[in-house]
Parts: sequence; C-alpha cells; structure tokens
Amino acid sequence: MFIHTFGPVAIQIAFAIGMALFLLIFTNAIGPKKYNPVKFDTYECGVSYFNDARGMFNVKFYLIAVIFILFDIEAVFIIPWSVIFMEFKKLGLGLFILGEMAVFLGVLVLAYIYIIKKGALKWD
Amino acid sequence: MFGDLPILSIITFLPVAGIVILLFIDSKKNSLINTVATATGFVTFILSVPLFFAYQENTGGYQFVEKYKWLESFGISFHVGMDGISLLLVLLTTMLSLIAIISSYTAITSRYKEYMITLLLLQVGMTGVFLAMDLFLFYIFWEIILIPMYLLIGVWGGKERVYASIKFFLYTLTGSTMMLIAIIYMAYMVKAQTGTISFDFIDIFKLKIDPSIQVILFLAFALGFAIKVPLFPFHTWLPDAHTEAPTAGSVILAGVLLKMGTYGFLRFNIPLFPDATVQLAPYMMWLSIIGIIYGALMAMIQPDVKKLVAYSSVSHLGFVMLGIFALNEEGLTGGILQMINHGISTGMLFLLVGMIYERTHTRMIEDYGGIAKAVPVFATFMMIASLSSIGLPGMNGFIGEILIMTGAFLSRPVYGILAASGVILAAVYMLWMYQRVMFGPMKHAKNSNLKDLNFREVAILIPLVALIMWIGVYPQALTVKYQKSVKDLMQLKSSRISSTADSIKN
Amino acid sequence: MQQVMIPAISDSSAQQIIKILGDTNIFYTLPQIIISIGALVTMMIAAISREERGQVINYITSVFFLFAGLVSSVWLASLPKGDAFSGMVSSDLFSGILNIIYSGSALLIILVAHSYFRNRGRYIQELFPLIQFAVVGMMFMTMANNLIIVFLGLEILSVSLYVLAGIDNMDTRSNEAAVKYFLMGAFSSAFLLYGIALVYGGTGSTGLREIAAYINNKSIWQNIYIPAGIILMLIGFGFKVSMVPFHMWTPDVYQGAPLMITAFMSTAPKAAALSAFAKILISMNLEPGSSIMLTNLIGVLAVVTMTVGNLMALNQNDIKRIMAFSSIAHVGYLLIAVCIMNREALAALIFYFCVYTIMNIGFFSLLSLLARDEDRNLTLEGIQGLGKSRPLLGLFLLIFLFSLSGIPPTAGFAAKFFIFNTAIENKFYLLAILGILNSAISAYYYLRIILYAFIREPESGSIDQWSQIKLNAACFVVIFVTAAAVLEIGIVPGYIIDLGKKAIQFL
Repeated sequence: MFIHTFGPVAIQIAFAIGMALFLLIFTNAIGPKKYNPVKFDTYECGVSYFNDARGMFNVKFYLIAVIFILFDIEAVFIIPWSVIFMEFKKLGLGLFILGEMAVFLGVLVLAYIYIIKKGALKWD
Repeated sequence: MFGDLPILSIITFLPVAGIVILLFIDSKKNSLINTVATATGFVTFILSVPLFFAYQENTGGYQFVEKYKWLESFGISFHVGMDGISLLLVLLTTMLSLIAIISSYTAITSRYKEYMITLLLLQVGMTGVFLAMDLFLFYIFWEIILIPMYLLIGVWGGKERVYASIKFFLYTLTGSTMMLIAIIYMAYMVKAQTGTISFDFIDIFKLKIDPSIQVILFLAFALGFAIKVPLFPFHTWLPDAHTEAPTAGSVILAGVLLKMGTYGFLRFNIPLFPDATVQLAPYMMWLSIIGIIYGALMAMIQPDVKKLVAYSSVSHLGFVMLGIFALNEEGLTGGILQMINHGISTGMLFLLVGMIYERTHTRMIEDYGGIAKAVPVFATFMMIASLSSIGLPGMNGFIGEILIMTGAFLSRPVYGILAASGVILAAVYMLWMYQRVMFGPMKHAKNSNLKDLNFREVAILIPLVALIMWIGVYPQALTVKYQKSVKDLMQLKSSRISSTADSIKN
Repeated sequence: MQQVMIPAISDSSAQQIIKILGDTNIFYTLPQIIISIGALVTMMIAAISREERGQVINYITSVFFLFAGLVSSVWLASLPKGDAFSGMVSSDLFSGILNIIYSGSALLIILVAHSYFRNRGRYIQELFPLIQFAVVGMMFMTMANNLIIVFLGLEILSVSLYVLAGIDNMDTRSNEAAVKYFLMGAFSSAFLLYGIALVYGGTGSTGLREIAAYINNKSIWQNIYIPAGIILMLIGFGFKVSMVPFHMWTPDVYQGAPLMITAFMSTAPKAAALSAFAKILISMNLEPGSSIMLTNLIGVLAVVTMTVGNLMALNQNDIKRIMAFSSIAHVGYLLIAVCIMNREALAALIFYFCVYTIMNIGFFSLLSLLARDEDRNLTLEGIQGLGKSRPLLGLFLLIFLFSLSGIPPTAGFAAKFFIFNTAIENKFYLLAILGILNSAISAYYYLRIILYAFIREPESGSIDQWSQIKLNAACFVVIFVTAAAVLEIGIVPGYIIDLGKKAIQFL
C-alpha cells in the first residue's frame, strides 16, 4: 500500500538524484581540463568584481525589506476576501464585509502612519 | 467570670492594638513609646492574671474556648482554648513580655519604636501558639514568631548578629516545614475517615492512625519541636542566637520560645501519636540525657557568661524533655513545672547578665572578678537566680527537678542516675561562674566604680524572686492547675499500652 | 453549465457564512478588542508626540484603556461560559480571572513604569502599546480552545516582550537582553509549533475539544505522536516560563531589561504560558493511567526547577538576578500544581498566579523607587541602610520579601499552602516535602535582602541617598495596595480560593 501511494514519488526522487549525480560525474569524466588564472576568478556576470560578497549593507535595506515583506503578506489576506465578497453580497452583507476589510486596512494604515512618523522610510 | 467575653482573643491580639498606636507615634518620642508599649504589656498581663483563678482545675480540659469560621473550604477555623498547661505558659508569656519591655528602656539605643513593635508582635505569636486549637492556626502563629525574633536578633543583636539571626531563622523554618506536611496529611486523613476535611485539634485527636504512620508523623512533628526545644543534636543554633540577641530577646527566647517546643510535644506529639510516643520515648529520653550532660559540660567551659547561661538552657530543657518522656505522672508534672521554672530563673539570669553588660559592655568572665563588693544588690539577685537554676531546695528549681528525676527513676533507674549527674554539673558550672565573677579580689580596677542596680531594675527582678520563692515553697498552686491535663495524658498512654498489648496477644 | 454550479456552491457557503457569523459572539473578546484599540491609539500618540506632554497623554490613555479592559474582563467573568469564533475561543470564569490578572498587572506596571522611566531618563513611549499588545496575546492564550490560537497568542505576547526587553535602546545590557530573549524565544516557539504539529498529526485536529474526544476513545500510547507532541509543547512552554533546564536566558534577560519590564515579564506572561499549558493538559482528558509518565516527567522537572532556582539564587549579589532565580523557583512550585493535573490543582495554580503577581509587582515597584543609574545600584550592597533611613519603605520591603519566602501571615504562605495542600491531597507526598524544603532554602536569599536593607550598616553617604527619594503618588498607591493585598489575602484567603475553585468547575 505504501509502495502504491508513494511509489511514483520515490521514483521521481530517485530520478532527480540520479540525474544530478549523473551530470556531475559524467561532465567531470568526459570534459577536458584546462586551467588558467581567469578561470579561478570570482564570476560576476562578466563584469570584473569590485567587492567581497560579504560586505556591509546599510541597515536601512533590512528595515525596508522587513516592512515590505510585512505589508506584502498582509496584502495576501485581501485575496480570499475578494473571492468570497460576492457570496456575502448575495446575502445582503456586502456593507458588512466591506467594513471588515476597512477595519483591517485601517489597522494597516495606522501602522503605515506610524512607520512614516517614526522616520523608518527616510533614507537620510 | 468572663461571661461571653472572648478573653483569649483579647489577650492574644491586644498587643496588636499597641502596635497600631505605636505606628502613629513619632519615633523620636521615646518616653511616649515607652508608656504605650509598657501599658500594652501591662494591660495584657493584668487581663491574663484572672484566668489563673477563673480556670476550673476540677473540670480540666479546654476552657474559655472560642471558635470562629475562618477558611471553611479547608476546614480551618479560628479555634482557641486553654487547658492547665497553656494557662501557665500564657501567664509566663505575658509576664516575661512585660518584663522584657521594661528591661529595654535603656538597653536599646537605636530604632526604639520598631523594637517595641517587634516585641509586641512577638508576644502575639507566642500567646497564639499556646492557645491555638486548630493545627493550621498553630502553625501560622508558630511561623509568625520567626519574623520578629529574626529581626530582634538581626537588628538589635551583638557583633555576630547577622550569622546568628540567619542560623536561627533557617533552623527553625526547616524544622517546621515537615510539621506542615504532617498537619496537612492529617487533615486529609480526617477527610478520609469522616468525610469532611478539618484541621481542628479535636477532630484530629479522634483519628485512628496506624502505628507505623504514627511514627512518621511523630518524627515530622518532633523535628520542628526538637529544634525549638532544643534537643541535643539540634541545639547548635541556640548558643549563637542567645549570645547575639539583645537582653529582652534572650529573656523571651529562653523564657518562652524554647517552651513552645516542649509544649508542642505535650500538646501534639503525645496525645495525637500515643503509640509512637510509647515506642519512641526511650530514644527521646536518651537524647534528653545526652543534652543534659552535654549542655552542662559545655556550660562549664564557656568564657562568656551569656553563652554559659545559654548552654545551661540546653541542659535544663533536657530535664524537661526527660520528664515529659518518662511518661509517668511524676515526670510529666515535674517537666511542666520545670518549664515554668526555667522560664523564670533563666529569664532572670539573662536579665542580670544584660544589666551588667549595659554597664561594662563585656560578658567575659575574666573581665569581672570580685565585683560583689561593688554591686552587692546585683550579687544578691545573681545568687538567687543561680541557686534557683541549680535547684536548691526551697526554690522552684528543686521541686521540678526532683519530680523529673523521680519520674525518670520510675521509668528506668539508669535514666535517673544519669540525670542526677546533670544536677551536680549544674551546681559546678553555676557556682564556679559565680565565684569567678563575684568573689575574690577585684581584678579590674574600673569595675570598682560599677553602679549597682537602680530602682527600675530591682522592680522587675522582685516579682521573679517572689515567684521563685513561692513556687519553691508551694508548688501545688501551679501543679494543681494542670493535674487534670496530666491525668488525661496518662490515661491516654495506659489505654494505648493495653490496646497494643491486646493486639500482641491476639 | 456554470450557471448551475455556482448556486450549488453558493448555497452551501451561504449556510456556512450564516453559521460562522452566528457563532462569532464577538463580545466574548471585548477585553482584547478594547485593549487592542488602546494599543493602536497609544501607538499613534507615540508616533505623533514625543515630548513630555505626549508621554503624559499616552500614560493616561493607556491607563484608561487597560482599566476598561479590566472592567470588561470582570464583566465577562461574571457571564456564563460561552464560545466565540465558532469555538476557537471560549470565555469562562477561569479565563475571566486570568484576564483580570493580566490586565490588572499591566495596569499596575504602567502606573509605576511612567515615573520609573522618567527617572531613568530614557522614556520610550512604545512601552504602552507593547504592554497592551502583550496583554491581548496573553488573553488569547488563556481563552484559546485551539492550539493554533494558543500559538497565535503566544507569538503576539512574545514579540511584544522581545521589544520590551530592549526598550531602552541606548543601554547595552537591555539590548543584550532583547537579543538573548529573542533567540531563545524563537527557538522555543519552534518547539511549541512542532509539538502542536505532532499532536495535530496524531489526533487529526488542533481543537482542544476534538483532541479530547479523540483521546477519550483511545489510549494516548496507541499513538506515539500525542505524547511526543505534548512533550515538545512542554519544552516550548518550558522555555517561556524558564523551566529548568531551559532557564539559561532568564538571569541575563531579567538583569538586562529595565526594571519594570522585568517585573512585567516575570509575572503575567508566566501565568499565561503555564495556564495555557495546564488548560491544554487538563482539557485533553488524559487518562490518569496513561499519563503517569507525563506526571513523573513534570514532577521531576518541578523539583529540578525549584531546586536549581533556589540554589542559584543563594549566592547572587544583584537583586534583579536574585529575582530572576526566584521566579524560576516559583515556576517550580507552580509546576507541582501542573503535574498533579486535575482541576483542584488548577484552582491552586490560579490562586498562586494571583498572589505571585501581586507580590512580585509590589516588590518591583518598591525597587523602582530605589533604582538609579540604569538599575545598576540594585545590588545587596546598593540597598544598605534603606530600612534605617526610610522605615516605611523598609516595612513594605519586609512584607513583600516575607511573602515571597512564604512566611505566614502573608499571601505567599497561603499560596504555597494551597499548592502543597493539593499535592498532599492527591498523594504527591514527595513533591510536597521537596517543595516545602525548597521554600525553606529560598528564605535564605530573601532574608539576605532584608539583612542588607536593615541589618548591615550602610556605607557612609548612602543614607542621604535614600532620603532624597521622592514618593510619587501612583507608585506609592501601587506599593500600598499590593502590600495591603498581600496581608489581606494572607489572613483571609478564603474568598479567592473559593473563586478559583468555582472557576475550574466551568472549564
């Protein structure tokens, strides 16, 4: 029964791993090996690199990234709401469900005002 | 005599009224504080004296009983009552508390108001312990005492007060924890046997407890009480606490607090666990005898007068325990009487040591010598107290000790013989100390200018001397009050012995 | 074809909508709603006005909203039991009492925190919304009937607490506390979530009632996921309440966080986490026989927790660290009640929460008067001479410390008595004995604080330091009320105990 259910998955996993191993080993085995200094250089889209990847970023990047993610995720909640909106409207609860979303967005707006007032989006 | 007046509650909680008044007094007005504290102690004492005459010794049992609802869901009530034993101890408490208050007028120099509040709080706890008829209430009062006593030693004590106060606190607290477990256990035993949970002494007294469980419960209680007494291996806190405590603290510690331990044995261990008592009495007696001799030997080598008196307490309380666990009428009578005697005579000794310490600021025997010439009144009182402590015929100590030794002899001769050696040792350490302090040439010149006792000091010693003499001549006045209680205990014991004998036969 | 299908779907979903709306009963979450609004309002005030006027307005507003939350909690507690949000959340006397504890303790903390942060010199107004959000989280944890809601509440609480620990963003110790707390907290949330996932895997539901129904049918050992999930949840909650061996963060965080934040962290959130865990355990209807392993495990953890807490506290010098270890020890006593795992024990737990919250907040409020220099003077040496120079403050100190060490006639004794009483009633003799011995050990370090405040001679100059303390009204009221409550509950604990006993009948 187990085999029956998960068999295809197992086969797929085995195939994926096998393919990866095959490619690694096969290219290594048949490819010609000619080294020069340029080959050992850090690869950066054809442009010669100018900095270490582990350099420092301004902390504001993180702040803005976090704020973006938060608001982005909140926006996800709007999608299921819009899907069932018509159902509510048919029941005569259109205004109610609109109000609910207004409350939700209102809280978000408050957070947004707070962020602006605190200067989190100011770059300087 | 008192009608419906809740006299026991009044006596217990009257000092609280004094505390409340004191809280509103400016802490700089020492004389006003004195007046309020002394008045509180005095009124309490005066109120407690009529109890002695109102107590019906022919009826016996618990009198002036009061019972109020408190924590019903746990079967806990505010239940107080007084039998012959607690009658005497309550009187001792109110008297010594008053004396302690008066004796502190000049001895305490800092934080006077707080000191008086502490003393009065201590009095509430001690009175409550002797009157509580509900085991939970008893435990509450028992623990309440720790707080003021800890502060008394820790704040107003001598050089090593920090160490002594913590030692005192932790010893007694640890001892009583097991007791709390045992108390709760028995309350649920009542629930199992009768259906309702109760911490009331009367209900717990009616329990039928399996002898093997009795032994465990006996030991749980005994640990707390033995530390308080203190019985031999648990005595090490006592010399430190005594030496570091202020005079009034020592008086109350020796006079009343130690009696709480022996009282606990009498009130709870023997009636509640009679089978275990009969079974464990020999061990308790051996520990008492070791305490008697060990305490006396330790007292002999002490260079510090106060520590000497402290070790003599270990020895004397050994006598009390010996008498109690002889489990015969003579022993019990003597043991209870000796509790009172020790309170009076050792209390007096501590007072005297405190008085001389106030003048010289030393308690070392070698710093004295020949001071009898300078302070004859002091020397006289010291003599009376020492002789009473030794147990000279005609003084209170004699009656108690002779009864205890009779009891011990009746129980097993070897106990009596060993205990008698304690009396001899007591004479040795007391008289030797007396001789080194009072007689001989004046060793230190500055001692020749010592002031003798003043009127206030004499006034607080006189009643104690009177009691010493009165009990020495006419002990029946006290023993008759608790004779019925002793008989009840004896009856309990004989019934248990016969019942165990029956069960062995069957 | 499509026209046929849409009405069919919409019919069933219409019924669903009506059913859900009918089961919402949103008023059962009234305290949360009020306090959430309060949090948003105070957040806006914090954003708009940064000056002293804003601080005062913010302070008054948050006191107002928390008080309204408290009143509505009392009102809810007086209502009969009821479900909200289709049974995801339920309100009863149990949650009502705990909601009162949460909002009440937050109220007391805020009353004191205002003057405390002013004296400290760095007044960050976000304090107010964060404490209120934390209260909302705790309320959801207790009222939750579903493990997901428990987790949701816990996260609302935890995130607020992480920020609160680091609220003094210029104090390096406060920052360190926040980072440590955050890392440990995130770690523990993962454990908790994993536990919830396993229980869900084992029972097919995250609803407590559905889980109870499932377990009633079968022994929990038939399905290894259930005990494994419970143990993982225990670890998760254990981190939150600083149960040994998951207590390592506690001393550093408690020491580093500003004093009144420590006061908050050590009281209500512990009550929330432990009551949630106890509620989960009890409502799971574990068979006594099948949960013996669990009982033993929690019992051992209880003993270890209180012993380690007490022993580690013995040699500390910083009062905040002492209180950290003391709070670990108190969790140990509380775990005794959790371990007994029946309803009377839950009543003991509620009572202990009440008492512990009151005495701890009282003690911390008292310390807040003494705190100087970012709390660095709150050491044993630092408080020397307090009793001599300010006898009234000394008296309060005595009351709180004797209560914490469980000496009668204080509330601390009544609380411990109730727990040990329940332990003995349920034949957990060893636990009771070890607990009571531990409480004797704990007396030592509480006494040490008294000792330094009263007995040790102060260093020269420190007397003047105390005479400069100004008693401000709000703080004094809090100290006075808590001290009076400690004595009052200690002498007549009956009615609160009865309330607790009544509360568990409704659960």
